[in-house]
Amino acid sequence: MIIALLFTLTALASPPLWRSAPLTDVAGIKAISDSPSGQRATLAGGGIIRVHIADSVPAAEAAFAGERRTAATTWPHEPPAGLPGDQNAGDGEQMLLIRDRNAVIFVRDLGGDATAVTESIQRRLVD
Amino acid sequence: MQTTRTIPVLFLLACSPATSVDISTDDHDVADEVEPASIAIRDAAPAFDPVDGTTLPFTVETQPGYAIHVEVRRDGEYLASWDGESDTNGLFAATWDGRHSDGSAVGSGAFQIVAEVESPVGIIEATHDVYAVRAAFKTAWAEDDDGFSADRHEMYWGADGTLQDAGLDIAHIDAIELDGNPQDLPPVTDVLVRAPEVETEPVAYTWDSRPILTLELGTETVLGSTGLAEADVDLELDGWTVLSGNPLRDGVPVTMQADEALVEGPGIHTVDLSLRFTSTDTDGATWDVGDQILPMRFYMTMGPSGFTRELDKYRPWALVLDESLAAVDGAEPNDNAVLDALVEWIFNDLGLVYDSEAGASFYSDYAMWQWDRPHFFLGEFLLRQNGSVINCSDAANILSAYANMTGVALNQLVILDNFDLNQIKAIGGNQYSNCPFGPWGCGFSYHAVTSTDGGNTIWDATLALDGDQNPGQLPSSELMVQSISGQEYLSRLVKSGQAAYTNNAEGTLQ
Repeated sequence: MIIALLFTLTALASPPLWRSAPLTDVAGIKAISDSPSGQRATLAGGGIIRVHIADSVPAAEAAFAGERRTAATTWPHEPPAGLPGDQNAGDGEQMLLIRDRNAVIFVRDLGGDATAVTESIQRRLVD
Repeated sequence: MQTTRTIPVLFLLACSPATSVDISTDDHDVADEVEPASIAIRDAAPAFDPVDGTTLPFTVETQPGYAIHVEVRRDGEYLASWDGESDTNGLFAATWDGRHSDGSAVGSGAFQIVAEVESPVGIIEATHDVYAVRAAFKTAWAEDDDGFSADRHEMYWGADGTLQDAGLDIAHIDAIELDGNPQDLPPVTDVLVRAPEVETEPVAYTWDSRPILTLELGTETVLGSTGLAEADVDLELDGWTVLSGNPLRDGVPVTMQADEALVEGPGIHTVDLSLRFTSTDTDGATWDVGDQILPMRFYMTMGPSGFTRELDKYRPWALVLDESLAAVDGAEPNDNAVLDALVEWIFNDLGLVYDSEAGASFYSDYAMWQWDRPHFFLGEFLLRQNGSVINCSDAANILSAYANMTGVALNQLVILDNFDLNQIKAIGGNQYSNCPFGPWGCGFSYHAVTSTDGGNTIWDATLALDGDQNPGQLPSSELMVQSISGQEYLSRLVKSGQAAYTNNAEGTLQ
């Protein structure tokens, strides 16, 4: 009884998982398509976006690590402070990879505004 | 009393056959006393196509200064006529355009040219049988013989997501005439992302194939019937042999094959095939009846797609072949030469630039982040949807996809991981550096390349190596990564750190 109660309280305390990321509502994004790893889209000003909604936070952590490993051939050693997300990598300008709960967002923005693009996607996440 | 008889007549000149000569005289004794008269119709074809612009010129040959009357008849019915006088050489030339004297068309079928002269010994006559026909094709198919002498490869239309069907025609016209004028078969489409509705489809064959084409005659003509049931008209095409279907008959397809390979190696062979319709007279002379153009574009590959996957999208995309075969045109027909040419083309001519900020991929993924699952967004790349900036995964995917579709099997490898670089020149760049990402970016966390043999031989369109004795120091000597041993490649690329070829994989497409 106590264990069940604790489990319920823990669940209630955890933020809900994201269910989708409707990129169609994000300004400056075009050509949205599915990929083997989630969704992808083109930044109208030049760049690429990849979004993956995992089934769980641990799965999203694995996806973040996978994206960190395969999306680019070089990364800053330490991301600057203040970048969004529960985890992040990149310089926040040209490139940003974040994990937000169970969502993983990668933005490569040739216009140098990767953080703003990432945050606009974050705001559209649906739980 | 007037009598008519046929007598032998002396023909002085070699000519196409005059079929008969009649002399009418008032008195056969007179005929025996005067100079013999002669008449013949010469230089006249046995068949012609009045719709295709061909006419029937002919010459009546007799003695000089004779009054001549010529008629065209069908089943005894008068259709057209000419009157004149033979010249000083005894010749009278005329041309029938296949029409009544009033200009109206007479249709197809058998006709008789009848020439008469009034000679001192009476009226003499020669005749010539001729067929007016309408010969033109309305449908064409491209075929093969399972690779024995021709190996056709169905191409993929990227925007449609459909595959060519070798059982369907590649060219078609609804009618062989338009507003009464003869029609060639349609031009070859330049829109290579979807199956054309009207224009002719390009076709792909292995480069040393002798393509086979089958053609179907149009049977509804402005002349009525084609006239080909009675007249013997053949198809001729320089450099091609008609395997079956000559002489042309309604409803009987004509199959022809190139006498030899159209090219000496992989490339694009664009040609307007000039289909000639001919007839042969009784002396064996061949006469042009008409012609028709069949525009063709042959994509001559190294072989079938190198991809082993069965889905249609792993067959050669028409637009990819159009680009890749133009790039390798002139290369020796061997795998290494073709890959070398593709590397050169991608590195130098496509306008692609390395992502010197991040080395990020714009047209590639590793499916679910697995190194052995490289995935290429080919449709996006063909449109340059994400611009011209790329990284090594993109370059490896581009090279691999174009090579496989050109008929050279080429896999991808990933070099892992985290190593520092010697001097390199990245695609789109103009100088060597060992720090392509700036002073604090002097290495790769990974690098993607391609190989035909699991890493023994490397092709890489991402960068050029420093080919001199000291690849870590400037100045550098450009060494394109074409057929380079895997060992040499790593020794020239890697300054320090772990670097090994891993995850030999074919890749997937979208």
